[in-house]
Amino acid sequence: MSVVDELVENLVERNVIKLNGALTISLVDGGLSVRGRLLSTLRDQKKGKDLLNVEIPVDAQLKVSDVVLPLPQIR
Amino acid sequence: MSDVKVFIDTVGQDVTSVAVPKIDAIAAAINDKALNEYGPRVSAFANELAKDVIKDLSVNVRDFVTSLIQDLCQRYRPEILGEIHARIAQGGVDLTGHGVKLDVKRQDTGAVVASLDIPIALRINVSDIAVTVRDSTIKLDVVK
Repeated sequence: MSVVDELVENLVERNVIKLNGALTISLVDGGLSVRGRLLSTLRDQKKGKDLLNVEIPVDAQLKVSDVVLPLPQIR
Repeated sequence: MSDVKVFIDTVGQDVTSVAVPKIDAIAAAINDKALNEYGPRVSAFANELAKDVIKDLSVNVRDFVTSLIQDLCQRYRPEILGEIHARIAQGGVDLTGHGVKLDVKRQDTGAVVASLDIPIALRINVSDIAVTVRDSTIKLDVVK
């Protein structure tokens, strides 16, 4: 195992990511809209200290085409 | 002519003033009698008659209706045709019918006897969905 591998392993094992935030999903013309904000915090569990805060604004649109439902046959 | 008219009016008023109370009295008497004496008898008779008619004819009517429904079901078959298109719109989902119709066809030949176009235009309102993420922890694991 290389030094880099060990470093990554140690970093990964002692850190966790915490997520907070709120998203709103709404229907818009022709699809879905997801808006909101997520806050991500990288925390060192060994030291009990936050290392990195990341704010992630979310503004995404999902296009959904028309759905065609054929009527069922009466048998 | 005016004198004749006055005369007839005067006689009419006099006759009315005398006759109307008498007619009212006899009408009230007949009404009381009919209500208290004949009414219950007629009602009882009608009740019995209705019971007898229903009793005698219900089997026939039931058989007739059953047979009619069977005949119709054997003779015709319904068929629904068309498509419903669902489209996401602002704040909801629009449902629109395309060529939606109900055909009544002959069972034996398949010929269309009657056709009913069914227009469909619906809107289903959908409120915004709020998703809250609270202290979700992502733990990373090393693959060994």
